[in-house]
Amino acid sequence: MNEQKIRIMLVDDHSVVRSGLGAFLSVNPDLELVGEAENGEQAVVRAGILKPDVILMDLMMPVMDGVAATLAIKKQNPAIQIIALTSFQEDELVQNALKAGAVGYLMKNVTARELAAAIKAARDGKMILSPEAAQALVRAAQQTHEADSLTEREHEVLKLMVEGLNNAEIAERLVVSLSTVKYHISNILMKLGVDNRVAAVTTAIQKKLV
Amino acid sequence: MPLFPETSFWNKSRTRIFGLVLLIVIPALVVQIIGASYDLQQSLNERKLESVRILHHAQSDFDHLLDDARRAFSDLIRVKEMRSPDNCTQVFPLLRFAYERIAPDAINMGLADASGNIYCAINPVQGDTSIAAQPDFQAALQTLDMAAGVYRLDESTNLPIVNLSYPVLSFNGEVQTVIFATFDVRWLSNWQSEVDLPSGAAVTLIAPDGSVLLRTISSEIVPVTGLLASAASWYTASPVGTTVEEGVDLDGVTRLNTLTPLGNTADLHLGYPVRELYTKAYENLRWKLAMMIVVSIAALVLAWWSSESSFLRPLDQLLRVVKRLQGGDLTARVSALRGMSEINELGRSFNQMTDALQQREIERRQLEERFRAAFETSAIGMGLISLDGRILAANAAVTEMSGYTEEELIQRNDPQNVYPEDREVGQDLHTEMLAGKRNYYTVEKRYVRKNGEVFWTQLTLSLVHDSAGKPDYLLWLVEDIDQRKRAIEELRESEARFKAIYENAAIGISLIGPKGNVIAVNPVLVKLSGYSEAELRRLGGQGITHPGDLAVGQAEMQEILAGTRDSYQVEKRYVHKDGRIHWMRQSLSSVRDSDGNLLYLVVIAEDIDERKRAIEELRESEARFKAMYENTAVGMSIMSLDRRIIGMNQASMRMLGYTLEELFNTNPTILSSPEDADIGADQYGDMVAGESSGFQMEKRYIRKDGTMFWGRVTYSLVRNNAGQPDYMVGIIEDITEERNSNEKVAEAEAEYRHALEQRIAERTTELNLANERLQEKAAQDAVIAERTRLARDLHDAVTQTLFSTTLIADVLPQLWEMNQAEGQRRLEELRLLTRGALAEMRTLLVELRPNALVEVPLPTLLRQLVESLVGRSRINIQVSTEGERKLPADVQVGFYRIAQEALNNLVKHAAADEAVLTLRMDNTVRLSVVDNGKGFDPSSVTADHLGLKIMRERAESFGANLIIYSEPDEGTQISVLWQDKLETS
Repeated sequence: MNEQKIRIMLVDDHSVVRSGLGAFLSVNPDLELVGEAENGEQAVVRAGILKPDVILMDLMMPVMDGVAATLAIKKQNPAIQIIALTSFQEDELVQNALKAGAVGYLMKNVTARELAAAIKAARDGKMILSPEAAQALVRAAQQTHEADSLTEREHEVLKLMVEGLNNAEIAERLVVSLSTVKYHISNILMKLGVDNRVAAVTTAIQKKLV
Repeated sequence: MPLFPETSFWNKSRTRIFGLVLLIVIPALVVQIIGASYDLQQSLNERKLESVRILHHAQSDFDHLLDDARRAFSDLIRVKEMRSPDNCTQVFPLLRFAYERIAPDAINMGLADASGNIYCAINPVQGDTSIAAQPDFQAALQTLDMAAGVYRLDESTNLPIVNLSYPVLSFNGEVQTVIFATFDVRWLSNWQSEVDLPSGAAVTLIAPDGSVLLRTISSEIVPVTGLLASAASWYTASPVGTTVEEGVDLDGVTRLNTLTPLGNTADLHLGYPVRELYTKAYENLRWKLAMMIVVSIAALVLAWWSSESSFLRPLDQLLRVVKRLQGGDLTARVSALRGMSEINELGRSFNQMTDALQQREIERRQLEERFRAAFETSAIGMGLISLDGRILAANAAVTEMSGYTEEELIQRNDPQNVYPEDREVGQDLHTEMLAGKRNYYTVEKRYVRKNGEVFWTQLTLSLVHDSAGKPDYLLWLVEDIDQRKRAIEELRESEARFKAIYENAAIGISLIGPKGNVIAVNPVLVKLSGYSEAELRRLGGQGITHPGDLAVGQAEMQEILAGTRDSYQVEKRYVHKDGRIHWMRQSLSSVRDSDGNLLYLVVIAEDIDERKRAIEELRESEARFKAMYENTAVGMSIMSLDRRIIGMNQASMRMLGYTLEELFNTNPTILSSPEDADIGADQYGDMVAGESSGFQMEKRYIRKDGTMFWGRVTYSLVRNNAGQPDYMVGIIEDITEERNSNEKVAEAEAEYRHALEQRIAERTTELNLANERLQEKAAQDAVIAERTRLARDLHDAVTQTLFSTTLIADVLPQLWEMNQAEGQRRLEELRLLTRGALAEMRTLLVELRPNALVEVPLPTLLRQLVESLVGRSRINIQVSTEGERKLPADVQVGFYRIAQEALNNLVKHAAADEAVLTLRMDNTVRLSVVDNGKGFDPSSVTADHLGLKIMRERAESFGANLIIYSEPDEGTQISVLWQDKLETS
């Protein structure tokens, strides 16, 4: 394995987090802290200069968020590995972070040991996902399936439901009969695996089906 | 220019012809004369030669005579008897014989003794019978040879005779006898008749002494006795030989005279008459001359007559007519000429020419008239300019255009009235034109009217040549193009703008024909649709429309085609060449001709895809927000700026017992119990005005079922993109349990249940109203920001801190082992973080349960506050509290909020590392927050910056004094002072 220390940059807008991570890094002999950044913009600039091996990137930051920064840094220096380290686990966020080029996604409940292992794995290019991130991805996969399975008409109906229209209004908008609308809605409920329209709307929003 | 010189043609030609004839005749005459004189000369010469010949003939005749005599003599002397000549009778027969030999020329022959006494003679000798005196006798005695004497006149006959003497010698050489002979001039007569002398010829025998012996004229003897030959011009003392000279003869007649010696005997002269020659010559000449003159005259007359009739008269006629023409009479025509055919032809041609000339003159005059009319009435300014630039004439249009009268224009030194800057415009072209390189030129120049106005004109200057081809004057055309130029400029600009729009606007423009055929498309449309222009033409609008939207706008299109509509707008989907679907907003306008027939349609297409998608996204995010909003257990409502409910989540509906439909667009104040209706009104006003970003209040609310509950409401102001207040979010919390026991709710409940029931109206909810407001992206951002803030506020701070503490706790053993000092530091940090997290939690709880702010003593609250900051910042904040007392709720909350604001500022802006919070509670309550940060300049910082305004207002709201003291680099001090009013009455 590589004898050299892994060069790490910390990106987080909370100084307490950076401080804690700093402490963590200081006890790991094969990990070296080379730089910090408070927001995505600083991260991009400093990553370009310092060229760390691994970046621990918080996702929720002012000025420029972690996903955007990941995108930018990967474009500039594809060799830099980025681990998203965040307290949020929204499916969309996970997807975006990974799509942007993050090699790992960890929650801020990770232990020191887990974190160290993850960094090393990231340096080698292995993808590391926290259980929550993994679940989010799975849901995403399922959801695409679910979304695909909705017909165009069902999609339209669902969209209108999310907009807050009641059945009668949906029927008027789509120029169909009320029973047709009800038929579509029952199909939707079934496909989305819910039993009431509010849940359907919520699912639709959460999973960005519309 | 005169066509002919002053002298009349007649005289001149006459003179010419006459001269011509003379020119021929006179030389001829001269030649004749010369010829005649030559002939004369010739004849004279002939005569001369002849006379010489004749005289030589005479001479030879005489010589013959002498020779004959000599022979006769010599024969005679042979006879011996002759030698002794005493006896005449003896010799007489011999003598006679000899005599007959020379007779008849000799008129006597005889013998003489040596003394000269004639003793024998044939013919009796009269007179002197001695010849001793004779020269011939003497000569003979001398020379002992024959000798001739000289001619002399015989006394008896008076005719010239000459003697010859011949000596007869004895044996001893002595002269014994002399034979003598006498000759007369018979031989001369013979000679004359032999030679055939012309009449008038004169022969003169001249004795050696010069006396004329004999003269004959025309063979007739002329008595000339005693006349001396020297009377004649031709006689010289000595014989001249045989030269012939013209001279006056003895009788005064001019003859060709020749003189020749007859030995020593005499001179013979011959005079040839010349007058006859002259006369003959003259007569000859005269005849010839006469002939010539006659012929000349005839020729002259003939020439005259023929020329006169052939061409002189006709030409004269022609000339007269030409002179009339010259005088300006265009009607002058020559009548039919009768002369040479060429002249007649000339006459006819002349007539034709004059006809044409007259015609042309008429036309020219017409043209001139027309031109003048045009010139005067033309709307375009026209003028004539001399070569040196002066105006010669200007028409009405020019005077109108320029404001000057024609006289003024002609008189002005600067006739062109050109705008000074444009003086040089066209100068090079003008020079070229004058140099002959071009015939005209056109320029645009500015002129100045009399009233000083400057206007643009288009000038055309052309050079007019005279009939000789030399430049004569300039024709000047001026057109006022001021309006046109401005219009052109505007048009150009608007065209450029349109073109820019057509080419560059991010709007697709196409022109469609009435049959739906694509006439033209602009590049943007090509780009928007992904199809090339050719493909678009082929496909047409329908070809790229999304199948589901083919029918959209069809009805309106039909109306346009029918003419009942001029334009319409639709939104429909198009399929990009790459298959993507785009939303487009289309505006169709019809362009019709003057009859109202549709010429073509202008279609403007705008890709609203992004906007539609943005709208979609916004709706999605709103929906998500709404979901969150719906699902949270905390009651949330959305309020318009005029304090009307426009949204409520499930929790709030549950709390209040109403649905959104029932409460939509109502003022939530109606939900509060009447006593509490005013609570929060002022703060609400401040918030709406933008002066605060939120506030909290507690009041009693009446549910739908009439029950009452205590609610704590926190309002937050949401601003739009421009920072303007947009709407409000209210969070409501049921705090009834806390308050229930202190209130008599039941009475109020019953009272207002019905009243409320009446007030709630049935409403349909349209999130579209909220959606429309939220439709701007800024709203979305604000919502996201709000959501984020809420999320962060609710979870983030604590989570971060806890995560950090966990990590540190994890690694602390190792750290301790590695470096105890570092370990201790980290342990301390851990402690602080943990405490901080806890304090933050508590603070959050306090935020959620505003009652805590009142129940818990202020010093404790402030300490918690400070502690909660420890985790978030590295500032060392000391807390010092003194005294204990109960404060009215609003005062306590006020102090708390001010402290919170001050501390937040401290953390965010102060850049300090040490701060002290002091609270003194007594009759007066004093709170101060001091830091050693960078401070600020109060005069340069606006009041609402750094939340100073908020603090100030809050202080005012509960009757406290806020004092802020700061200076750059000197830190900041914020103090709040409140006095208990009751105690200071």
